[in-house]
Amino acid sequence: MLVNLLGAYIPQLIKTTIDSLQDLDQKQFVQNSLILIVLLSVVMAIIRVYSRQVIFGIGRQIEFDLKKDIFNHVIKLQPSFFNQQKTGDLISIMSNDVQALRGLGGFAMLNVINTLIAFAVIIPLMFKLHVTLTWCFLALIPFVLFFVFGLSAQIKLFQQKVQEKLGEMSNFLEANLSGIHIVKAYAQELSQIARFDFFNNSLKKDYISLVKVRSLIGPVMRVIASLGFVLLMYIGGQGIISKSFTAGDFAAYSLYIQKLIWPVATLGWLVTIIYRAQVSYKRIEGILGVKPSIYDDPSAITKTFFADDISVPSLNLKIHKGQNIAIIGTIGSGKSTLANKLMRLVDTNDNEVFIDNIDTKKITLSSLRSLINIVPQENFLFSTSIHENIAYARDLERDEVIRLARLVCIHDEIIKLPEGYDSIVGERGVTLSGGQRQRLAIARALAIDPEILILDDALSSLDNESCEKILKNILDIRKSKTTIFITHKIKIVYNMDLILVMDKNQIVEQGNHKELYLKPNSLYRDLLLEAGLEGGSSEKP
Amino acid sequence: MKNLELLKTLKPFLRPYLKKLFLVLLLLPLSSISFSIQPVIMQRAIDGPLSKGDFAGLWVFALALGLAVMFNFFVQIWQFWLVNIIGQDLIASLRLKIFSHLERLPMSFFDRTPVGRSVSRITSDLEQLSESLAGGLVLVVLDLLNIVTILVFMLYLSPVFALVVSAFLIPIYFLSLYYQEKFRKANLDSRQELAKLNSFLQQNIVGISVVHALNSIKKSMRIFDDNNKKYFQANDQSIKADAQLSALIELVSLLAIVCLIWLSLKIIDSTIHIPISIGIILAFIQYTQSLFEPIRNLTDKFTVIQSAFTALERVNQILEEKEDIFDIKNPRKIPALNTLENHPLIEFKNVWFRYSASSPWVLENINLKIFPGQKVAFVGKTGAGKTSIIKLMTRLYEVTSGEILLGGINIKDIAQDDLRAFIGTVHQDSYIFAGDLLHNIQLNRDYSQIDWSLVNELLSKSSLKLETKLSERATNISSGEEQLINFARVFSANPPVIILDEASAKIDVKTENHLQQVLTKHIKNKTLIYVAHRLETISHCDRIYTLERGKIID
Repeated sequence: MLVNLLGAYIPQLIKTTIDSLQDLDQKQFVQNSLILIVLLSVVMAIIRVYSRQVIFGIGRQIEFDLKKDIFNHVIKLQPSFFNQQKTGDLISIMSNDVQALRGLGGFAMLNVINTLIAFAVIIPLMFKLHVTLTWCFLALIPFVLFFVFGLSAQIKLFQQKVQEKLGEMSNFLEANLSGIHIVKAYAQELSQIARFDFFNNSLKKDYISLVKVRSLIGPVMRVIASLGFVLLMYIGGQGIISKSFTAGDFAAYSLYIQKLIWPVATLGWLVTIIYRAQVSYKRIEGILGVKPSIYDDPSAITKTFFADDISVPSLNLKIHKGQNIAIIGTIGSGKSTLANKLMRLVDTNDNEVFIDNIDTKKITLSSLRSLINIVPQENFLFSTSIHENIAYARDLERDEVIRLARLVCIHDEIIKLPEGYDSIVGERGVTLSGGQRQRLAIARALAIDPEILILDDALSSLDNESCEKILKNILDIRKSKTTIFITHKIKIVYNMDLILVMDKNQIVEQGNHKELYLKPNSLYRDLLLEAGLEGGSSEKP
Repeated sequence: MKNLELLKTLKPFLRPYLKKLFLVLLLLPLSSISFSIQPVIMQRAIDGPLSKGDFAGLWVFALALGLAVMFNFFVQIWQFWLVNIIGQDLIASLRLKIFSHLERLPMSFFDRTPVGRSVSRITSDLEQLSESLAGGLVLVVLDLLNIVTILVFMLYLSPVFALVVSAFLIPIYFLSLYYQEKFRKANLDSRQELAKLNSFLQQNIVGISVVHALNSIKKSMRIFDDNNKKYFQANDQSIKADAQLSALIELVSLLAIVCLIWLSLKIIDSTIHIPISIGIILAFIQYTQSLFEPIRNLTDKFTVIQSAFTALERVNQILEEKEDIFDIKNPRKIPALNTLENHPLIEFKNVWFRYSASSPWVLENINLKIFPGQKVAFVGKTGAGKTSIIKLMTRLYEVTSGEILLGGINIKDIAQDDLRAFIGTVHQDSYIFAGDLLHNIQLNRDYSQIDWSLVNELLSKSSLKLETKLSERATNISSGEEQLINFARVFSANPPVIILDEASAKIDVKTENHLQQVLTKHIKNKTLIYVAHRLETISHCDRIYTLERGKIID
């Protein structure tokens, strides 16, 4: 603001110095004025540096806060949300859209302030110099505004289209690159490239429309300024002839026009930024407005548990603390769903799941989830080191991590790697085999060692020998805790205190191995026999 | 300068646009001259008609000025349109090139590069390039050209004044150099941090069920916050540099004007003898503003242009990644099965393999023969090398030494597409593309190439239908159903060799039996290769290879 005031004052000085050039008596005055101008310029420069830093800093702060808010919001949403909402789109929102708002807060704000103040300060000064000329100059402004607002609607439209197309392209890329090994396996590279080209061309067309319209704004602004000079020359020139306008006035006026050019010229650019920011704002609001479908009831209480008994009355299920449980059943019989419900990763109905006789819906999610954890079927590992992956939920020292690695029989393989525990895992753990990924996932869960742990098909990729060893280790260190295995492996099922046989989302049979096996018409026995168990009913592990 | 090298990489893409570029080059000087001549017209007007009190003459000059302005206007628009169209075309070609290149890169690239990073290259990096290249770069050229024409006109009006003003260009040049380097570094830092941030976001979304299942939401938030702060700090640097430079330039331009006026004073004072007039002084004041304005714009655009070069640099990094598995010039065809007689269909000869020179050997001296119609299995502890053998067979990785022969021909001599159509693989994990199930099975092979009755048989016991819409991460179907799709994809195209890589790991027993039932008749003449843990599934195989630490021991 100060900057602009100084900026306006200096041309006045220049004007007087020029006028005084003619008069030899004023020599000293001219020299003093020049020195004054120099001093003021320096002060102005210093202030300008700080004001710019502050204003752009605001824009960046907005960016920081938005990113933080979006991430913290999104991470709490239920996993099923991300099937419909494409990942690529979200990344686009987090980066491109947030950036648009940053531009608004920083650059745009700088511009608006500059423009307003410039006009407020300079126009009156221009009037002081020459009334008619200034009116003529101002008369040009409505044309500018009319033109700018006319174009903005177009720009907004095209901007939206471009952003949508970018989101679509991101989604496609995300999908394609994650599944690249399948693309290669089926030699689909060419068809994928063709598909990409479709997105590409569609994006290009929209971009060209956008860019054509946008490029009109600059020249229009400049031409208005230049026409201002034509006016200056003609009308001001007449003034000089009639001696009502001095050379100094002329100089000052041309400086003022120059000062107004920049804010007016970038007004157009500003319009684009504002519209872009509007579109982005809507998208960000959209994301922030999504409510998690699984959330804490306002009256939910935080609880630490003692007995850890789980009961699901509708399924006639009661699990006591310390039991080892197996859940088996055909595809789609509801095993994973049940497991997820215990932890409310899939929402439950009221009075469906109880822990210590309290409805899980009445407990805060954080206390529920510090009690129960799941090792899910999909072995997702983060792109960090093996150590960090195992220690993910708890920050652990190396010796702790090694202890856990030994429990899952993977330590020997890790130390063979060139960087050992510091080796970075590829996004889906691709450089590790399926069995290695599974073991890491188990180690990760064991690091937390919650009161109740569910392993959903977590030993499927292991050979029999490893499976047995690891199973034994898990059960040993979790002696007093409840462990639930969802599995197809008979070797696991044998040893469990309680076996639940599921079909069509119901528990159709429960008991231990002996009871179930000997039952007439037991589904359990059918499942075992189908798995090719040799030896018949008297076979014991 | 490194930036020049980067620009050179764009050269091949520009070839189709030569005519348009030529037109642009023609228009540039025109627009520049019509811009820079305006103060001269003014000077003529001031020193001519104005000093003589000639109203009519003034009118002529005003008209001349007006014409120059309008001419400049139209030329500029034409110019911008052309440049932007070229620019967008260029970017689109670049995007396609990068994606095509990416698709063909070897698996080793994908193993070490997070998906988020590649996506960000093609989308936000190129968007950055597109925003700044056409607009920014061309405006820069225009500004530079303006500076040249202005200098020319200034010299024409008054050599001494021109020299004085030009002297001020020197400090500006050095200031710009100094700050440009600062910007470049700050920009690179900031984009790196941004990519890290995006990558973290992407991973957390992909793995969100794990994050929830392990109750680590708070930890993720914390890590994100740390990275976010780093990004913020990286940006601070570029803001500082930007603010300082633009303030300095404005200061210099005012100092230049002061100098001019002081000089004029000396002249009028008669201490220096140089021709001068009010018109010249005023014209020079205008030129000074016009001269320094492009430079100030240049620095305002610095950030934008820097980001363009940074983006270009990162894009080039991808283009420099090599495809390392190529088809030879005239790939040989796989011989028909009936010509093989007693020769092995697939043979490994002294094969050694490791993922890279710095990783341990995964396979050591593997020798084996697989005959047509054989059912073969590879077993062994996890990590013994079974999956690697499979990857080598379909040439997803290249053997480090030794040979793999298919029908007596080294697989390196066979076209990769042919190889993979011949050997189908059912993986243990799957990938589902968005679309309906039919598309997911057909996957751009011909409709007629797929045995749809087999597909329907396979799907008969599940809830899936060909019209079922599937989504990318496929969590609206169970993992057992995903595997069914995997099987359907491979078997329905009838390849002579099928690899099953622990394919039944995630299927329950009933479904597995269903699969066996349906597929038994289809596999009679096929060569099957199993990788498995469970001996139950492979008990019927003709030959079992046991692997331990990369060696066959049975």
